[in-house]
Amino acid sequence: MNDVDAICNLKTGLIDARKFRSNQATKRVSTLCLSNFQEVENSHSAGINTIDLDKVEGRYLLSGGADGSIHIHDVLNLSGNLQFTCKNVGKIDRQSNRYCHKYSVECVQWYPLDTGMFLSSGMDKHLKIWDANAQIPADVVIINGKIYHHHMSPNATQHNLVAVASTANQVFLADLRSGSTTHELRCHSSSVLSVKWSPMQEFQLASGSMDNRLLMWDVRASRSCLFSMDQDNGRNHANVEKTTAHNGYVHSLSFTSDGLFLISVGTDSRMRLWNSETGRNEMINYGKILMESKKGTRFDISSDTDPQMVFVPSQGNILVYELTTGIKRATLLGHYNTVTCCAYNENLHTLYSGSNDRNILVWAPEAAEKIREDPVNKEVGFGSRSLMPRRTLTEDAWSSDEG
Amino acid sequence: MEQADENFDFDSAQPPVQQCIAKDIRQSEEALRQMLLLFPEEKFLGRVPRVVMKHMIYSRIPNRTLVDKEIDELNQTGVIRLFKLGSEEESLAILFMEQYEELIERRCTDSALAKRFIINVLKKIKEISVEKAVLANAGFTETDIKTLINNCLLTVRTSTTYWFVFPGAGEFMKAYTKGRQNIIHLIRKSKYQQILQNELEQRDMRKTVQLGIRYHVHDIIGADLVICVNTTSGNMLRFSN
Repeated sequence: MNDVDAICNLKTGLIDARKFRSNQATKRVSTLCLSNFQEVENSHSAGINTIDLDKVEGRYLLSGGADGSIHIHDVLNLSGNLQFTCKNVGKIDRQSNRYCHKYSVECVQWYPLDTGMFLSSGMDKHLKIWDANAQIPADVVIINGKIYHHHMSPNATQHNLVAVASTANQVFLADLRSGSTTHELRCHSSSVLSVKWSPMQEFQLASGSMDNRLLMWDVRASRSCLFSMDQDNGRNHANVEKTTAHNGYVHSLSFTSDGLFLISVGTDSRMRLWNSETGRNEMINYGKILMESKKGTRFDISSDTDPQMVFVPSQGNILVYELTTGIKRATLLGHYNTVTCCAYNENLHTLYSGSNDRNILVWAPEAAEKIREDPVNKEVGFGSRSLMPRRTLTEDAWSSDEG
Repeated sequence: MEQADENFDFDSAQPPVQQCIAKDIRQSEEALRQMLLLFPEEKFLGRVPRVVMKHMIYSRIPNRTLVDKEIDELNQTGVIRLFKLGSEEESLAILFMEQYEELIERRCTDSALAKRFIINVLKKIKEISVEKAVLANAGFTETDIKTLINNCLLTVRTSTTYWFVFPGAGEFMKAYTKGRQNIIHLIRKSKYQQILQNELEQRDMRKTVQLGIRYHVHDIIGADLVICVNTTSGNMLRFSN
């Protein structure tokens, strides 16, 4: 149905407001394609490992690179033009900041309540808590292992814990108030690759590791994990002691926004949907998701559309699947190298993806929009492109085969 | 109308069973039966029963989760049986129970043992593997298990578990892997690594592909080895690497 009919139905009460919103969101997400008008300013000089969009306004995009640098871009279009470049508003790299990470940054996350603070962790075993305005770390927590992932609970009011997944077999819980790791969760027998807090229950934590297991924890429980998720739901008799969630490392996790389901992606090229209360494998067949990297990617779920969509990076593409049926809706092609992370902006229905080719691409619902042939727009459009910085002064823009 | 009310017994009335997917079980069962017809039984002279791999159904019905759930339900109700052949996660073979039982009775040397096996084990355990303890509980001794292994009904998995298998599985797997490799090789060799399905079917591959080209086309589409693109001159099979 077209937009005018939908609005009339909304006004007459034939359709309720939430359904109207989710219908429009679904329509827009179904037409996602590489944006012709928006782009993110090139500022990374190494592959991008992780990105995060702030939960408060969906305005600032934080990205961490393989050279230890962290960049902040402003993605909100306040210029009034259709053609828009997301500017870099903050950069922490080795030349300008002495507190920068020594090795690659593996995970960045905004503080869930405001954009004054963010956390970053990387291969130099440090978890740094940054003041976003001063660009100086307020505290540094040193972990006993190279950090693959960290997560701070989005809705916790009774605790200030950050879960850290590292090469050590335990999941460390760092307390932000004291600045040290107070708590260790021991059950894995190999490096922990990913941790995620549940968005509904502030004490529930899921962790995936290189020993092929996916465990659910309640951090208040004294003994050990609540349960280990089993991909066969107990049907397969051979290995009863060690139930595995995947036939390979479990490297990426994400809860749905209602906290009821957990999605895990593994190096066996499979994606699984789990019930987060019972740990049951819902047996949704997403097919093969090819990926070469064993370290894991950050994928995202659109929670405002009616069949919820999962955006999973797979080699150089991003695959869009329906969450509950497993049907592949679209393949987004655009990057030149492996895509490592993607983040979905609910307010604008756009997807940002970062990859090893140093670009952050914007995927927007633009099937119907066309640029106006306006002379004013043309000039501004021209001007914004000249703001792209040159790498070094002596670098030529053309290649010469005369040597 | 009043007569119907008097005869209606409220105590023993059962609420209607929610059968929201009843229609769709027919859908994948139909697809299964159609695909089974593609299997050239005559070539194997009754040594190998008509068997289909589970991922071949994905080429007919695009919603894989639905197919998985329906196959699972058909397995639980005892219409079909699943077997794991091969080391990949995806190599599950499907056999209809009527055929399987008839095959057991025909090929098993000890018919009383076969009957006991069908009644005590096959009807109760629907999984693809079984533990030694469970077999012992059902009243099967070591010699019974040895006879079953000799008759190709069980295969050793670990020291305490066995896979279920059917007679002729080895011959089927050999023909299947060879045929699949030959067809994939043919597609890879083609220019642009793609070939029209009509062209593929016209080639004479009776010696190298025993199971038939159409059987393998469903197989490679379902296993995601090729992408099937709909063109104006029929289906185009493009190799996906």
